[in-house]
Amino acid sequence: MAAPAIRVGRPVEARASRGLWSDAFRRLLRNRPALVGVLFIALFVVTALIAPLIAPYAPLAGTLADRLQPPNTAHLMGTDLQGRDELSRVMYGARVSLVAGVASVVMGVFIGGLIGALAGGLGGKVDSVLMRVVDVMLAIPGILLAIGIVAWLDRGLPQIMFAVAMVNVPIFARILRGSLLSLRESDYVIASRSLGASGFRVLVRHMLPNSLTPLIVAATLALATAIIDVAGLGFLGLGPPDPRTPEWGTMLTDSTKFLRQAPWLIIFPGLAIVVSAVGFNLLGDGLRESLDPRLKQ
Amino acid sequence: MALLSVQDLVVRFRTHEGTIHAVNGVTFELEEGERLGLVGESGCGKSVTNLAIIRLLPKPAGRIEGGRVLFEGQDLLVLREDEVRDIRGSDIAMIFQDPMTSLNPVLTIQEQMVETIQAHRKVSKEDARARAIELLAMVGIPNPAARLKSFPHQFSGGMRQRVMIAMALALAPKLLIADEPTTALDVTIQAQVLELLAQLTTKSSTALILITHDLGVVAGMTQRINVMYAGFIVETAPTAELFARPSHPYSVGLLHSIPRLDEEGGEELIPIEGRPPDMRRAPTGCPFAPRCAWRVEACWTNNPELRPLTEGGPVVMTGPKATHRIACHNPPTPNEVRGGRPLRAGFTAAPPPAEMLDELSLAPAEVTADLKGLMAGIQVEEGPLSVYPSAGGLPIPPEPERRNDGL
Amino acid sequence: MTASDRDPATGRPVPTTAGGGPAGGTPSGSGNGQGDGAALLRVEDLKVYFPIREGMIIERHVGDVRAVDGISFSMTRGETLGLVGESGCGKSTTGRAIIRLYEPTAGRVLFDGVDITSLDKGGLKGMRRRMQMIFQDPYASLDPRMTAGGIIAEPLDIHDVGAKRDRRMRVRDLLSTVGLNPDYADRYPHEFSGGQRQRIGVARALALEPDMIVADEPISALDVSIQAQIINLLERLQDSLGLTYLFIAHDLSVIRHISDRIAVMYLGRIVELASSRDLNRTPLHPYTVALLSAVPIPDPVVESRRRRIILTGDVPSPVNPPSGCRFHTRCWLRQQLGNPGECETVDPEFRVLGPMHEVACHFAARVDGSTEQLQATGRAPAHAAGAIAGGAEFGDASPPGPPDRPQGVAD
Repeated sequence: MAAPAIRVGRPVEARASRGLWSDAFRRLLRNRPALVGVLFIALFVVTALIAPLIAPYAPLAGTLADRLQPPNTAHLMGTDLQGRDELSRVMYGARVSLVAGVASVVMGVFIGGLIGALAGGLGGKVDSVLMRVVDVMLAIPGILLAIGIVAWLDRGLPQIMFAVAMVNVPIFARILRGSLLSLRESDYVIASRSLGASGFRVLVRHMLPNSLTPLIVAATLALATAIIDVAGLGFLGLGPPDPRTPEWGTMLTDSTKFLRQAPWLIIFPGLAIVVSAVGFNLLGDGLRESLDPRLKQ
Repeated sequence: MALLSVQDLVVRFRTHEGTIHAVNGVTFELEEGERLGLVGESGCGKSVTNLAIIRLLPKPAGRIEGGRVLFEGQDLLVLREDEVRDIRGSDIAMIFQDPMTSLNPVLTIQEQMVETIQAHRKVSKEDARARAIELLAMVGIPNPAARLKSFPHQFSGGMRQRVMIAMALALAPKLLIADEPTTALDVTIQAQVLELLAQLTTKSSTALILITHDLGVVAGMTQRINVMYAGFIVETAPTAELFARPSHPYSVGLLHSIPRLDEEGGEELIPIEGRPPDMRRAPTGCPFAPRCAWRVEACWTNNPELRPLTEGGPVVMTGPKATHRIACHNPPTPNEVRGGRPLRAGFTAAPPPAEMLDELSLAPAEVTADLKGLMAGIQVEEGPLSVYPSAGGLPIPPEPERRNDGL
Repeated sequence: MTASDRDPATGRPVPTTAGGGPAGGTPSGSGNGQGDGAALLRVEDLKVYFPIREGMIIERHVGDVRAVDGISFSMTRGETLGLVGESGCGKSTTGRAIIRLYEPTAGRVLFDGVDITSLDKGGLKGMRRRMQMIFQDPYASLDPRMTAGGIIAEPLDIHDVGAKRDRRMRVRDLLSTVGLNPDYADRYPHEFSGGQRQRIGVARALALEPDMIVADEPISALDVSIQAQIINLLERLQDSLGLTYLFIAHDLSVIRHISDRIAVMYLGRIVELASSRDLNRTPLHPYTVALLSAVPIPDPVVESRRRRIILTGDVPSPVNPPSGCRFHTRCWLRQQLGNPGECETVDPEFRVLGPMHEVACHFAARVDGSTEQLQATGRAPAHAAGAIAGGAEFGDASPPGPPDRPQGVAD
């Protein structure tokens, strides 16, 4: 019947006031897979940024004499059909992927977010009409949509970015609209309205900040698919108009014919795509968990 | 031998945010056909205690880290999962607050009831169905044969809870655990369900553990009550005795902090100051000390045992003559129980010891909120004492005068 | 309709645009020439219907949820009116329609003589300074991405009251007014407990020094031991600030404790309106009697002597409310009287049956003095001692035994 022995426990750690964002950031730092993701992304981004400084050769320079060399000390990833250094091309390829990936996602978030905010913020007929348009876009398989757009607008890096952006637009629009709709009936939004706040103020001060979380997660994950989509378009021959441009997808296409003789030409660009995509995926999942603590078990 | 005997039960949850000390050594017994109330606020461990008894703690976070749960002399905690499953539902049944979470939304009531019955009894489908109809009729569902084909969402909240009761009683269990069975229901529907629950368990002399935060509900429904706070039982007594002579400061505080429908007029509510305990902290001393107006120095360092209110004689664990026991170093006097606050001349609640101050000041948000009050102690002057946090800003009278001359 | 129409040109109140410093511009209805005791709020035949629509783009109107279906009452300055009823009775909708969070379908809401239902945007914004709301769920009603200070300052920002610095000071004042440490202004809602969050909600409602506060179940989401803190806080604030409360709750004990008058709602209608005392001593509507009898009292001695009136069945749908008296489908009195026809056919009028005691029942006179009424109010057979601890009954600790409660009358 004795009361259980009680030890003097250490108090829960002292802390200053913390917002939800900094709380989420701390949780993210404790998430191993997300940190691996950050590492991959860092590798990818840094490579892209300083490619001209660290690439051993120029990406377009090569002599036919050096063609199809397997990896060796002079060419760590071997050389391609034109004798260009594969390592340098993969490094420069990161720039194309980074620019195209980031630009297309930013564009997608912007357009999709605008549609979602209009639909979720205004509601009614505007919502109905916009969402039907979005449904139609969703009904078309993403890569087909992208191919269609590139075919329609002609080849070119901006066109590719736009095409990949449009693939993501309906997804972002739906996500933002969904969270706005659920927030519209939330007590703190109603509270703000009851204080006399205008519809615009409610949208900007309360609804948008609270609906960003899922959008941030979706955008991070979309970066992974954007990189793959850009490479995919390149692989399908819809890459940058200059065929010499070091673009991972295009590099894959060019080397498929020599799969047997020169497997390194497939492996290294493929690996680059995988590492960068996996990086963003891991970070996206980590963000999802740390931004929404309820997901933790 | 008691039907159920819980001994020194300890349950902890390991979470990312730290260890939650949910149940910290709980001991109680229950006779056949006895009706026990477990009363406390959210997070006091009352639901966890019962989930532990039937071994339904959420895994892997929830762990039973000590104690025994003897049901008819058998320790449920050492049984294999399939053996426990056998007992669950047939000998021990449960009703939860939200019937929707315990009913499968895609199966009809018939499928669920027949399945339950057949899982534990070797009967034909026809017999099981007949029994189901009988049960639905028993809980007052009109036209039971037809309603058997309905899905859960086709019933109203009160009707769903009736269905749950029917399913729980399907196998004539010896013990029924009802966890806040009426909290989600309106008061007139609550009356229906409680009435039904009382009738049926009396008729079949099923033992009942009723878990609730509502002192009114246990007053009419139970024979004995355990009051829980921060994972401890702080007071236990037969129902009439507990309400006639509440003796733990927490029980006294609870009774003074809820308005009563039959108050005669102008009764002032005396809130329990502070906030519910942070269960992530391993309790040092009495868990209620930070909020207690009666605390003495020992309360900060020694957690009092559950002791008989009046010494002498053997401790009776169950039945109408169960010993009234409290865990308190400085129980309120009968006058103080009536008044709801310490009335002894010159008494001040003990301030926390210096080393605890440090700890309390480090604690998150609201423990610090009351720090000023803690350090100042609670002054007892001529008049009624004020435990309000000091109010700057707008002029606020320290003691509210009830202007309501109500009843 | 006397002084209230003084401004026919705009049809809205003379907005209290005193520009005001933080403490300035207390817009107590001085401009209205109404004496004390005149109604601060008058609700006239208020209806709020929510249309039920079917179809995707082309929507058809297939019916209405008649959440509030013609209610009238008035409130004087400084009083607390309790609005009580079970879920779906329309009490919260009433509260929200009064501050026009929902557009009323019909009826008028006169606040200080001004019809709120006809105000334009600007007028409404001015009016909202004077009517604030406290919400039920302290976890949902505070924006998780704003600090406590930001939340409390929001009404000041919206109405552009005072300079930035003054607002900071005002926030600190408000925090201590509601019993929180002013230094917590920089903390976020998730760092507070439920009771503390509700205090923040109260501080936000006080920021503009309103005349009236609509409190929608302000304590029902809180732990029992915390509820009294908030009730006492609200009472204290009312005493010192002269606030008028419309207090909405499902818990009759709480409503009884805090209210001067109580309105009982059932299926979109007020069925009884009386002083808190009268409603509890001599309830005259069969539904009120049943409601009172169903509230459990934390005292086994009293409980063992009480009889519950067990209402059969559930509350009917507000889409198709019953004809005649809305309560007739569950009414124990009607069954006792042998199902008189008028209950089913004639909608009972709201009749005055005593000083400030109004009730909508054809047979209210039969309720008064009935066994059921006496039982529900605890006045019969013997009224138990009211002292909370029941100290007078020491030693009288006879075990209550199985509560063999008698069958409900209506069973």
